[in-house]
Amino acid sequence: MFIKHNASDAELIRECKKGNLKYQEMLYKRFYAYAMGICMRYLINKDDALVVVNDAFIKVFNALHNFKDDLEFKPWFRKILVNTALDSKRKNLKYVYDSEIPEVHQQTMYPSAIEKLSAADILNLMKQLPETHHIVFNLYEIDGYSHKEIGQMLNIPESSSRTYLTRAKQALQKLIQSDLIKI
Amino acid sequence: MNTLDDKLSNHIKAVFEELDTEGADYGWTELRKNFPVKSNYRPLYLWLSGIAASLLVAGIFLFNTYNNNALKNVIQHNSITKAAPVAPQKTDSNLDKPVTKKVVNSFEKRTVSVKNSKKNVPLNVVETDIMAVKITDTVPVNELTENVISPLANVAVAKADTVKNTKPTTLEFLQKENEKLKKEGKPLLATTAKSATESRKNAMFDVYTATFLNYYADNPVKVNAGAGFNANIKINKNIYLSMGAGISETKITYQTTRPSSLSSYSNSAADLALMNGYVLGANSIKLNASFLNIDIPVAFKFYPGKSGKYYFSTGINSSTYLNQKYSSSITGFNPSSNSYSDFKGKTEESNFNGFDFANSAIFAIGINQPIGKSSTLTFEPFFKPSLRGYGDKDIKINTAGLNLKLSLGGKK
Repeated sequence: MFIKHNASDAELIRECKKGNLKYQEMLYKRFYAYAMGICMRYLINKDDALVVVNDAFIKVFNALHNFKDDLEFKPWFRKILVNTALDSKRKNLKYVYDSEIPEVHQQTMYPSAIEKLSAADILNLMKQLPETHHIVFNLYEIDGYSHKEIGQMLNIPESSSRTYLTRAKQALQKLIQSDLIKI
Repeated sequence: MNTLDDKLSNHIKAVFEELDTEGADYGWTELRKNFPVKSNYRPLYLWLSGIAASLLVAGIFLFNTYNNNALKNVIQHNSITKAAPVAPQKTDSNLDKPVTKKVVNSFEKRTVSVKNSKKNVPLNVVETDIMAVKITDTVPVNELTENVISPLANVAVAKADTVKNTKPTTLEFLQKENEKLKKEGKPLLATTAKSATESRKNAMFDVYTATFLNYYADNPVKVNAGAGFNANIKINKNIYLSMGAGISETKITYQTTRPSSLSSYSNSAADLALMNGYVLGANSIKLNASFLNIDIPVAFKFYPGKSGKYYFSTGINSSTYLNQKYSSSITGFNPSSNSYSDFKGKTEESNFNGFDFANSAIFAIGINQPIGKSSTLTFEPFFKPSLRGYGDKDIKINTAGLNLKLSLGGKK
C-alpha cells in the first residue's frame, strides 16, 4: 500500500478514520512532541506524561470518526490531552481551602530572568508549587480556560480558582527570584 | 505586572510547544501494547463448556450421594439378614417338605427384600444377595438344582398374586424377626424406618427468590432481584453442601469510584462533550453495567445444635452471562450558554458470553420456619463481597440482600 509521508493533517485524519494503522503511526509521531509539551506541564514526570499522551492518542483514534473535517485538529486534541491529564491527576488532587492557601508576598521579577528559563527550570519551579496551584496556573495562563471552566473541571468554586492562580503566580515569582539569586 | 505575567505565560507556551521530539518511536511502541484493543470475546463453546462442567460436577455429587445411600441401606439390610439366619428353623413344618418349603422360606425372605426395595433399595442387588445367603444356609449343594433356583428368581417379581397370598406369613415373620432383633437392641422395622428418614434428609431441594442491593465503594446503590434452586447434600450430621443455579439481574452505576476497565466508555462520552465545546466536571461521568446472569452458588451450610432452626453458610458464587451491557453518559457544562447537557457515550452489549469462577464469596445466615411435614421456609440474609470482577470488564460488585427459600424434601 502506498503511504504518503508528507500527507497533510486533514489527509492523515481521513486515513486514520479508516483505521489505517500506518497513518495512525504517522499522526502519532507528528503530534507526539506537541502532546508531550502539554502533558509534561501537568504531570511534570516524563513517564507519567507518556502514559497520559498514549491514553489521549487512543481516545483520539477511537473517537476520530466523530471529528468533523472542517474543524482544526490541534485545539480538539489539546482539549483531550488536558482532560486526560486532569483525569489522571484527579485521584491525587487534594483541594486546599482558601484559608489554608499560603500567603506569598509580592516579588519583583526581572523580565530578562524569564527568558533564561528552560523547560527543565520551569518544570522544577512547577514541582515546587502545590499541585492545585500549578494545575490552575496551567489551565488559566497557558491553556486559556476561564475561571468558570476551571471551577467546573476541578469541582471548586470560581473564586477559589482565582485565588489559586494569584498564589501560584506569587509563588512562581518568588521561586524565580530566589533561583536567580542562587545563580 | 500583567506584562510580566504575559511574558512568563508566553515563554512557558513557547518552551513547551514542542517537547521531547526524540521519544516518538518509543512512545509509539508503548502505545501499540494497548492499541488496537484485543477482543476479549470468549467463544460460545467455552461458555457452554463452563456450564456443562458445573452441571457435571453437580450431577456426580448427587449421583454419588444417592448411590451411597442405596448401598448403605442394602448393606444394613444384608447384615441384619445374615445376623438372623434362623428363619427356616422357625417353622418346623417347613422342614418336612425339603424343596418346596425351602422355596417358601426363601421367598419369605425375599418378600422382606421387596418391601425394603420400595424404600429406594435396588431390587436386583438385594435379590441376588438374598439368594446367596439363603442357598448357603438352607439348601445342600447337591440339592441345588435349576428347578429350585428359577422359581425363586421369578416369584417375587412376577407372581404378585403369590406374594399376596404369603403376606400374613411375611408379617408374622417380620414381627418375630423384629422382636428378636429388638432384644439385641437392633429392631429391624425401626432401622428401616430410620434409614428411610435419613435418606430423605440426605438431599433437600430449595427454590428461592432473592432481593438484593448491588453497590461498590461510594457509588449509588441499585436494587435487583433473582430466583433459582439449590440441592442440599448431607456431608455429616451438621454440615450440608448446597449447590444450584439461579438467574438474576445485576445492575450497577459507577459515578465516583470508577473501574479502569470502563475508562474507554467514559472517554468516549467525554470526547463527545469536549468536541461540542463542553467542560467536564469531576463527577459528571456515569458508567452503567448491567448483567443478566446465571449464578452457580456452591456453599457449605453449618447447622449448630440439633434443632436445625438456623444455619450459617459460606461458599463461593460463579456466574455466567446471558447478557452483558456497558454504557456511559456524561453531563457537560457549556460556559458560553451557561447550561448543562447530557451526552451518551459508547454502548457495548454481548450475549451468551463469559464464565467467571468464584467472582464473589458467600456469607449467609439462614433462619428456618417449618411449614407442613416436609417443607421449610427459610429467611436467608446474605452478603456477597466481590472476589474477582463480573463480566468481560471484570468490574467489582458487592451484593447484600435476602433470600426467601422454600425447602422441599425434608427438614434438617
